[in-house]
Amino acid sequence: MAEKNEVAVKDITVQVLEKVKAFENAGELRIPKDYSVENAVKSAYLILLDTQNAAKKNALEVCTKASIANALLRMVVWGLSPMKKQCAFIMYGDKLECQMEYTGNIALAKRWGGMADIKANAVFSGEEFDYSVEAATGRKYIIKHNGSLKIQDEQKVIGAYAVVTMNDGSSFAEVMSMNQIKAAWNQGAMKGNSPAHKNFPDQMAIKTVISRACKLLIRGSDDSILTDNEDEYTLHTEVVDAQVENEIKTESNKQVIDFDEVKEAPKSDIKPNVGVEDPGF
Amino acid sequence: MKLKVIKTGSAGNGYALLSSTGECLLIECGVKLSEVKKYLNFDLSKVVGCIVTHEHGDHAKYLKDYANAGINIYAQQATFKTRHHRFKPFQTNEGMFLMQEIGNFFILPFSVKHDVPTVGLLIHHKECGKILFLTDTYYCPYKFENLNQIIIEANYSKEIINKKYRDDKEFLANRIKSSHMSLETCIDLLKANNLSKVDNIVLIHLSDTNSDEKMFKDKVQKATGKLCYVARNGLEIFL
Repeated sequence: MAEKNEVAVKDITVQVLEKVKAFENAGELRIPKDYSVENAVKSAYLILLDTQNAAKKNALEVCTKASIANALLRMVVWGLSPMKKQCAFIMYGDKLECQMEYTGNIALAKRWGGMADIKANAVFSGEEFDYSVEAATGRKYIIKHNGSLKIQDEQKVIGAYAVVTMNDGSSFAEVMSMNQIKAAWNQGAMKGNSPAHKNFPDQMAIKTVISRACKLLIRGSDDSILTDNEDEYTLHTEVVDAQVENEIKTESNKQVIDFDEVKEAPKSDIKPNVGVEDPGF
Repeated sequence: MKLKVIKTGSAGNGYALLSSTGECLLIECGVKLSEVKKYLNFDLSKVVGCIVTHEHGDHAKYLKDYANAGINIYAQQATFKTRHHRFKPFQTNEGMFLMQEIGNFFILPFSVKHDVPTVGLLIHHKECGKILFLTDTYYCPYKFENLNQIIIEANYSKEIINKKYRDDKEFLANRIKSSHMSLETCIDLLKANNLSKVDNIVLIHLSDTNSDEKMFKDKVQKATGKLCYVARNGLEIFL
């Protein structure tokens, strides 16, 4: 059964690749230049081989072909790599879904949102931490953050912040209190009660604030990255032009072709409409 | 001999050659059979056959309908995707197509340059002499002698297409350039052949959006000094 389904899923990866190529060729889909569809789909296949649900059933056995194909397509349209854990495949019953990881948010904010870099830290109770809001722009800035390992060892996380640097050199911060962070966790399936949330609250808080900072950049971005390739366009069409022109120039109108038998048959003298009965139409 | 353009262009192609004795040769079956019937006064017995240049829908969509109506379909083997006793593949010899005799029409197919196997046609009938029928090819490798009529594709003008596809859709632009004939290539072809015996030049398969009827006609007439028609649906001319 598993083996059979493996074959089926391998088929799906091929189908998805073909579909993506077809969309691309028809101009219905544009893939970012820095994204390799082939690598992403193949690594997704490898990851799916090891994806199991709580009952230790493999994703390839349980999930429907259509949901697998959809999840793969979603990954490709986002332009994310599952190998880099930018997205994860999650099984919901017999449905496979592709979910964005916080690293995926970073990748997309960098690709689409003009973000150059993002750094985030957790703030512990007892640390010196201060931020301000620039009234003119509404941007938040971190003024001060001093901590110590002792505090980090002994105290609770009270919040987290992320500092975003944009491609144009400007920067701003996103700040969240622990209550805000927990409210965000509550939206998740585990409601912040997973072992990861319990054992590494600072790391999970950092992920949450990063995602919040990136999302606005992603959702507010345009598609210019896909269309700002005028030079490439010109180059490509010129290459095709040159190839076609050259072929037409060197290969056209050369060899004479003609009938053998009726070659010399002259055009008869019958003129249309002269003494000839109209065939009736 | 009367040429009827039942339909032309990428939405469908159908041409009929009707001799004064009532013989009708159809070229392409990209129009519904009912349109052909209407034109022939519902008398399909006049039809001696239908030649199909290639498999694309705008030329071959109604292949089966025509065959089921008792019309013999002539095309190269690659164009037929199924079997039918009315499908008559062109005979070949050493890679070249042999002459076909269909009624009083003599047909010599030859391979041209499209993105699928496609033929151009030399058609001879004593009423109108030698016709060159050439469509869906971005250039023609052959030259012809003693032509009397030319029915040829002038799909797009480089000027228009380069302007139009500047922003986007390079794929489409490239596809057209390597599968259809530009006005410029068409004129070069006409000039490369001896046109002294040519009576009429009919331009067919103009793109809806990448061509300009009047400009095409003017340019061809100027370049050749011959009477030029631009085919439009329903056009009738005596060859």
